[in-house]
Amino acid sequence: MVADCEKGVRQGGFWLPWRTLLLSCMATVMYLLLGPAPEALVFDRVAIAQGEWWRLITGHWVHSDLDHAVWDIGAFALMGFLFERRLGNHLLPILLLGSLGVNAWVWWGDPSLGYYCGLSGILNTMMAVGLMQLWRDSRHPLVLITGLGFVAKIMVELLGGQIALTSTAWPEVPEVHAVGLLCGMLYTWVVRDLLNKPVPVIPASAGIHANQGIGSRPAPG
Amino acid sequence: MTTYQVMRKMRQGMLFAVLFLLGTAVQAAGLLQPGDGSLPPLEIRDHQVNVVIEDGYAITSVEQVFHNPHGQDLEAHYSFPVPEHASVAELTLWIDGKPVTGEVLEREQAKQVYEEEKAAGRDAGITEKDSYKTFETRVSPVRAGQDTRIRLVYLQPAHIDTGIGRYVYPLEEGGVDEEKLAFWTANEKVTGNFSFDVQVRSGYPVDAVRMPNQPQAQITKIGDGEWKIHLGNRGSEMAAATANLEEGQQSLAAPTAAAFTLDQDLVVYWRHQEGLPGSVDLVAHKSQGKERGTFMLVVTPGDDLQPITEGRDWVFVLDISGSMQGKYATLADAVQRSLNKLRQDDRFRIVLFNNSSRELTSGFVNATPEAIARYSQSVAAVQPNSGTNLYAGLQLGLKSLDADRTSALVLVTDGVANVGETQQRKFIDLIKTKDVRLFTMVMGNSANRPMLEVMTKASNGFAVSMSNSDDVVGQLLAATSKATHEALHGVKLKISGIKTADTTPSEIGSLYRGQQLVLFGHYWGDGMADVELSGRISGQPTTYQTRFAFPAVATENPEVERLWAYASIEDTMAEINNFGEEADLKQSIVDLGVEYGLVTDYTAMVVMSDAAFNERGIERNNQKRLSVEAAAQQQRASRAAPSRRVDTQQPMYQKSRPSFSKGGGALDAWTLLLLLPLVWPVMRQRKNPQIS
Repeated sequence: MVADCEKGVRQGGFWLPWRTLLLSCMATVMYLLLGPAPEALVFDRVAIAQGEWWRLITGHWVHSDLDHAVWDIGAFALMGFLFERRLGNHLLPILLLGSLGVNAWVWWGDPSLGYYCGLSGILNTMMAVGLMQLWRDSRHPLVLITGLGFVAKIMVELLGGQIALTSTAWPEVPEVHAVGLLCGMLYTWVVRDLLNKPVPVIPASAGIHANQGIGSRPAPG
Repeated sequence: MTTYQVMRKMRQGMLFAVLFLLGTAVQAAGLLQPGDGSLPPLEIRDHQVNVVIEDGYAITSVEQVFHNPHGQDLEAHYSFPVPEHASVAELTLWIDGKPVTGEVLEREQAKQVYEEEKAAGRDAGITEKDSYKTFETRVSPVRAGQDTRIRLVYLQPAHIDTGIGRYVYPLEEGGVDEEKLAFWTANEKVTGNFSFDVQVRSGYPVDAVRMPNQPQAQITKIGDGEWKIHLGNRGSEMAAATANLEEGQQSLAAPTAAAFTLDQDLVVYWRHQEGLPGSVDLVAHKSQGKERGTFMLVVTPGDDLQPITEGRDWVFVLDISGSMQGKYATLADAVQRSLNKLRQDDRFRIVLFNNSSRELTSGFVNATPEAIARYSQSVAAVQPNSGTNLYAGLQLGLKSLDADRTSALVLVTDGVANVGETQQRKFIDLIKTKDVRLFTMVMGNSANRPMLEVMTKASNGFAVSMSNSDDVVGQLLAATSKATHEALHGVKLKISGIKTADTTPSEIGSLYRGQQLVLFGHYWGDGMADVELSGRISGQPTTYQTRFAFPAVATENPEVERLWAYASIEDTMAEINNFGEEADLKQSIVDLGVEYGLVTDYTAMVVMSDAAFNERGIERNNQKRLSVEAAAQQQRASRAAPSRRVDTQQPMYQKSRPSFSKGGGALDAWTLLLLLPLVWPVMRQRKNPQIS
């Protein structure tokens, strides 16, 4: 039983999406310690060009104000609860691909954007992969409706030029959500060969189902 | 080691010493001494800079101690590059331990007074302006084995471009004056205390402050719009380091007692909060009971200018003269980055000039990645040398323009034309022969900025300054943002409902994306005024209006009077440079310089003992003005910087200001609402994994 729990904790499970929790805690601590948009960590075009490459990663984990941080980190925690078990070890590559995609868009797609921060772009990558896996595993109509809802929301944001119900210190950049979503779809397509690998599952009695990430299909316990 | 080897080493050492001296000859701010060694060198013992940037202008105070380690009295000759649009407003010399402030006289008279005092062995000092190149301060005597303390204060506008303010403390001399280079060498070492303290005090929230290339600078946020920056080699760093160690914290600055060299510009950027509204700010000065007041009106437009989408032709005209040697790496970097910002449907040509001009490309080249890579390498491989035939460069650049395509000419130069045609009027005539916008990147501190600015304005273009200490990418971002958006051309500002006059600039010209309009002038009376800003955007007439009050009494910013006077003097100097030196124009500059205590091309500031001032019957107008300014500065320092915005009731702009824009994608309640229903199928499946 204990071993099952340990395995579940190690591999990511229902009660403890530890990767997400760890990263959420990190983002929260960064906000609490460094405050809004810390100068040394945000995506700063000029500083990056001068060699401060770490900003390409750190820029996504810092936020412009409390609202920005609460919504982004809260959504990340919820997504971890919903999807980490399915994404497993793929979580970090997904977040990295999202970071790359959003960075590339900010750098080349909007050269007038000098500074960027926030988690939401890469969360859309995570959400896209998670939703597609959940749909493949469950075929539940709610998943389809949610997916369509997200696409519609992003379309509205793009057409309206701003993000509904949000007012953060730094102006909204709705395009990053679309870019994040596309990155998620790309990731799912690239690793599609891994999707069908069978995954060992911890007995349901432990309350935890372990997996090896994308492609895991819950097996009878 | 054999005698031969020793001799060889010595020869090598001497060669390096000569090369070193040649390399550093008058390339920086510092104490000048004849290159022939006929006079022994003095030392700069202390160099302490205090800058306050508030209400749209900067006040820079430079206090120095010169030390004479020799057995004879000597004259100190300190030279530093003219900061952008700056005028010296104070020269203070400590005589018998007591500070005495200088007065402005007509230049020849000031020089004569100084020479007489110097010849009599009495303490005296003088500050003159060497055209657009340097301010020269001489102090005599620096007594044998003793110190002499002086303070220089200068004022300059400090405006915001695309949400970012930029202040440069210029130290790097341009090396454009060959005669001076041949005669003088500069001692730019500060052997004692060096400190550089800047206070940014803004009525608008400031998000960040940055000092590029100075990682040891201590930057502290005091309040929403107030920041402090400190850089130094001793003293407070040591104290700060000790305090930090006591608290068990890591010190931000590595304390060092090393001599500081005044050879690198110090640049400070401050960034306003994102999303501030387009606005009109009024800074005025009007004493109680006076009918006439002086104002500085700053218009920060909203983001109404649309991006230009059509393909364009770009002609890069690059200065490869010898004076560009220290700046050429920055130039090549800037050009490469600029080329990379071109779009596929743009075309470009590259023209190089020194004694003569030549084209690097063969006609217009499509801006393909291959062409950009190829020509970036070619530009980087060029070795600058010889003189500067700017006219030939521009002439070649203006050739072969395609009348069917929009063209822009990007001139990158340190701007001292010394070969071929050098008359300003001829340059303006040349640029007006074609319908082309001139975008000028002014490199270094010794450029003939007045001429470049006049020429740029004549073409309805814009000029951007670039120091070796600047963030090249940031400066290019500012230039690109302007070049790729529409501009408001033929700008006019009309004030009605209150009498105004003497406004400067007399012709505003164009306003590009991110630029502020700064207008100085006089007003009479007080009360509400209607203000209308008009111009054309892509040929369409556009008008912005607002209404606000001019104050009956305003005493917080007496410096506005000097800023107005200096802006007027710059207008008059532009006329002199265009049409030649006419007596009435020269006299008007002398009159303004003397009345407002400003060092100009025709006036100088002289300082001597109070008794000597009395003996010569020189009125202490500047002393009175300085005491009024000091009182106002003390008052301002005692409270938070107020907003000077006057169009809050009737905003001139509906949109917020443009910026290099920062952003963050934020998730919102919709995201959570969409995700929450998924909890049910996820939970259900986890409880019963067989469900699919």
